[in-house]
Amino acid sequence: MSEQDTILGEHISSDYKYGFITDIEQEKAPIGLNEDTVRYISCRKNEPEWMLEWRLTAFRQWLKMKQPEWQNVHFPNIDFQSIIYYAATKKKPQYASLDEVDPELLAVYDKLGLPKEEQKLLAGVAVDFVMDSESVITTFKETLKEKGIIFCAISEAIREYPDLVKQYLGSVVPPRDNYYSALNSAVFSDGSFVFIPKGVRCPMELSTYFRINAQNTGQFERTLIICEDNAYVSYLEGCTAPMRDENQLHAAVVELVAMDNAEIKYSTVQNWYPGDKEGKGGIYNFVTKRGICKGINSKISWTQVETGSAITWKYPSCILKGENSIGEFYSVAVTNNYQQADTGTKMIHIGKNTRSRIVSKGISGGHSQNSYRGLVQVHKTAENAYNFSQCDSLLLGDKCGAHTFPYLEIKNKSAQVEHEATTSKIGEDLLFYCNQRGLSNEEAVDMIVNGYCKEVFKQLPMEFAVEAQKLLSISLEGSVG
Amino acid sequence: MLEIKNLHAKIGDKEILKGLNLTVKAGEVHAIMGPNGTGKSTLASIIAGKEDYEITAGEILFEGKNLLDLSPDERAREGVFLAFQYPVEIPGVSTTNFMKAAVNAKRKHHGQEPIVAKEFLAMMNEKRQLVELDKSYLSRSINEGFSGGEKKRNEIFQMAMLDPKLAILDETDSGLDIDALRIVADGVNKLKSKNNAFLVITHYQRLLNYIVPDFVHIMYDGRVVKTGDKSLALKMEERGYDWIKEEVGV
Amino acid sequence: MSFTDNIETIFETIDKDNLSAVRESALSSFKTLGLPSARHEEWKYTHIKTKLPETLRLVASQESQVASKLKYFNSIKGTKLVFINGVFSAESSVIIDQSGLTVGSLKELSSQHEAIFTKHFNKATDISKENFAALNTAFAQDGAFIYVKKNTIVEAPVFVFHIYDHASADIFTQSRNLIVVEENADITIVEDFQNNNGEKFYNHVSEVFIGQNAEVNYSLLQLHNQHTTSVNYVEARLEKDARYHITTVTLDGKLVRNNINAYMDGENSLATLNGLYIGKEANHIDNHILVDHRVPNCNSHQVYKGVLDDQSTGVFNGKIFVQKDAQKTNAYQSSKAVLLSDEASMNSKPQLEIFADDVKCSHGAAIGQMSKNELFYLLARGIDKETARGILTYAFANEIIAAVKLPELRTYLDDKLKEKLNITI
Repeated sequence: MSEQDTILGEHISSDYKYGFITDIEQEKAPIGLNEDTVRYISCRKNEPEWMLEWRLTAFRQWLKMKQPEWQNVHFPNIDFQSIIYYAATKKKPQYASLDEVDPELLAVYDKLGLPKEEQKLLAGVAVDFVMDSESVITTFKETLKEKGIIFCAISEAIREYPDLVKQYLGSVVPPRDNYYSALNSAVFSDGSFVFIPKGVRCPMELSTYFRINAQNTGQFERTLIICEDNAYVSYLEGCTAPMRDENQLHAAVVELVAMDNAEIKYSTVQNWYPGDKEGKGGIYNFVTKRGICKGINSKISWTQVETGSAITWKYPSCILKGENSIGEFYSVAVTNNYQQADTGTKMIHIGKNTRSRIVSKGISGGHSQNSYRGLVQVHKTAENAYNFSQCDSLLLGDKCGAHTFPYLEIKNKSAQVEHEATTSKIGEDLLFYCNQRGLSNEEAVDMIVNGYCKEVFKQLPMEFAVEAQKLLSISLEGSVG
Repeated sequence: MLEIKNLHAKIGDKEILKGLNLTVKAGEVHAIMGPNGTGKSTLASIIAGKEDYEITAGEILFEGKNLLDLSPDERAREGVFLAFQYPVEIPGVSTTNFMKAAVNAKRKHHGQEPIVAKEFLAMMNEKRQLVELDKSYLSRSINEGFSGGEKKRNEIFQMAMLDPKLAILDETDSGLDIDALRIVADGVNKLKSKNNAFLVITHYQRLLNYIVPDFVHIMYDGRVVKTGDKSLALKMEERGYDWIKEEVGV
Repeated sequence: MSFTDNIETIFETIDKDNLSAVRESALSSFKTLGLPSARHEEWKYTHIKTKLPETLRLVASQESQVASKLKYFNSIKGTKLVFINGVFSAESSVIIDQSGLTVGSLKELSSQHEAIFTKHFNKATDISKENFAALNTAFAQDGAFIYVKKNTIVEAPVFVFHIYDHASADIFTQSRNLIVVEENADITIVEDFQNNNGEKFYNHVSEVFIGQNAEVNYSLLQLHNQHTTSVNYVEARLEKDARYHITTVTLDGKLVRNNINAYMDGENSLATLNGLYIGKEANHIDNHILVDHRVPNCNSHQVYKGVLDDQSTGVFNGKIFVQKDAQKTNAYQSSKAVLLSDEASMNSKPQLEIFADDVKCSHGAAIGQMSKNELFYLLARGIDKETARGILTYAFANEIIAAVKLPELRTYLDDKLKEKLNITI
């Protein structure tokens, strides 16, 4: 644990630390998007025919769809024909040990502060490292395999476990769900696949580090996690990306399925390049994340700390279908400079006695705009549904904006739904009190903001919580005079 | 240690301090008394560096340095401590974490390494006992849900942790019952040394039975109008503030 | 077929008046906007298009036993303006003269007070965005004109009664108020819509201008029946130190849409917006509230409460805007609804949009059922379930009524509420 802390701690410094570019030979698809691009990707991945058909259907649907415009974000039109939809590291390594791996790639790991194999072992973390689009290395596979757990690249799952993939892929987020999910379904490059069989508690936190690397390469990750009856998994997703001038599009889809008594905990620390102080560059992060609590007593918990990206647009959601199922959403979204975030969740109560909890903490500084958008829907069938939402916004300057758009749609009288929201700034009194104890304004704000976000941070696994806190300090630098 | 010369201060258009003089030496305890609205708490806030006030004349020297040139946090790191009349609540930040940050800020200021966790915990344990503060308070958010007495005890605890040169107690006795008052006063007495000084602002003589002052100053209308020893406080209590008005001819 | 089809023909039949230019631009704006569809974010939960009459007819004058309909209010001292099917009825109206106060029909008084009229008419609504405000501006015939000169404290409350008693099912009445209250003046206004027989449609716009340090107490009563479809706008603009208190009470209606908008144009102004709605059978009641803080140091306070029974639907959309320079804003909003039946539903969208940092803004929205503990407490005292629910519902709803300042009105509404909830305590 302490090693983890130091590693994570040391690798965070004031300016965007992870802005390095790795020079590994890339194999790219030609620029632009048409059916041939989709065929190229499918072919590159050695996919079976059914997968290609699935992608093509999604692509044809995408052609008929329009970009959504209802979000509270503004950006220039994306030219979908100027994006490269596939880039893979050239070699296709199948290594048994780290020694065989491209040393340049290892250097990337080091810069990222990833522990070596031994360190991973000590920390009890298996890492499925997605460098650009291709899964490069998967560790701990053997240990997991003994328990019947599958944790691999989704491209591998498509080849090795086609029945599972066929059954669940697109079952929570259908390709036609929205513009970006259709796009992702057509061109997704890779991502993670997790399957926890009946009665198994995954003994370690599963984590994947995503990086957007090759210039002008759209990143279209696809993640599918299935927990069978009485199974449990905690999955961590963390992101860093190199510094760029041009905006890059990221449109991932994540699907979670929890059966009877199963529990999935999905944590994200998102720290993609937010653009510079003038708002130039940065990642566009348009993500569809959704989980379904299919079985009775199942639980899905989303925790996110969003500090990066020029534009964030995502609503990790829960469909609470199984009786007594529980959905949770804990979020910290920080925007500074010219960042824009429109994020929140949807809690769809369908089953009886379903419960959900939303805790959202928005912090805006600089010229940024930070919106919470959430939907709580209680269907007629959802007897005794319960929801509590707390959405707080903290403003750290007079040029930023904080917005709250909660939608509550209730169709069952036994529902108890409560939404609370506050908007405030850090009071002069509070700052003075901290000053009086010897803390500078910067230190005081740091501490107060971390206190403000504590409810969310405590949902994160320890090492992630440490990283999240430090990220927060960095993101807020210069936001208070 | 502290030298205030001809201090004038106003808030908005209202002049509150009108030429205040005060000298405090190391090892001394000074009490400042006076009716409401004479500028006692303003004085405390100005020494600590609250920005609401405009200093129109005069100076404040602390250990020879011009205090008015320093920011509030610098003053604190230099050794000025204010026990607030109304301590704020900071949700989500535990007293432990808060104190760790404050102690380390001070150590850094004086070119010392951050405190070792073990040493810090031992220090916390020792100091909290000074004010009979239960261990559980240290892990709770600062002052959140604390009673008035608990907040004041927490202030004295923080004072003990930060070991200031000059400690200002701003109406620390208000809202305290007799037991809490005794606990707070005992804490202060244990912290007293020949190297530090105390400025005790109070409305009532009661606190001065426990914290015995070397000097008592009576403040009226933005000025110190009378200075004496502890018997002045008793006289005040007995005769009321009107007596002072007559005495000094205002 | 929709009434928009014959809209131009109808427009031709309107008498030419000094408003013709405004009317034409409003008509063209309405034609551009059309009727809101469900895709329109502000009409997401209220699908009005299919609920309106197929052809547009504006006026049908028919006078009946007006006096009996005002029975309750006969005992209350005050100015009473009566509009029957949108037309001012001088015979039924009672005006208490007071110097500094001008009240009456907008149609009659607008030319006498042309300067005031021109300065304010259509200045508080945005006909380029609001479909029904545009429609109203194009076709409005009459309504109340209330003008209070500066330093005038209006002693008796002003009641504005709208009585609908025509027999046709396809008349879409367009009524329009203009209320101008100058600096240091003070007035209490009660506006009451009554429909006791058959299907009625009305679209009402009330513009309220509150001068410096002036105060307006405004109550809007919608106690009509379940055949009434209505859209209402109350658009208030507040100058420095102005105080504005508005209460809407909606106890029935097939479809009721209220747009209660307050624009804080002057510093240190205060707006309190309260609302109570009781939905039964297939009632659909929609309250859209907007408070726009445009300058620093203003306070706003909203409390909306709803009780929904049978197959009724409630909608609450409350927006608080705090513009860039509106520092030291204090804005509060609370929306609570209770569902009494399995068929009832509630859609709530409390919304904060904040562009200034030194502000205190909060909102709370709660939807649920009666507290089981409270219910049990009453049952344990031997009260039957039905009565107990009634008492608790009444206790919940009464908060809004209890805050009504005019004592006679408070008693009247309290009785109406009890009647509606079928309780006797």
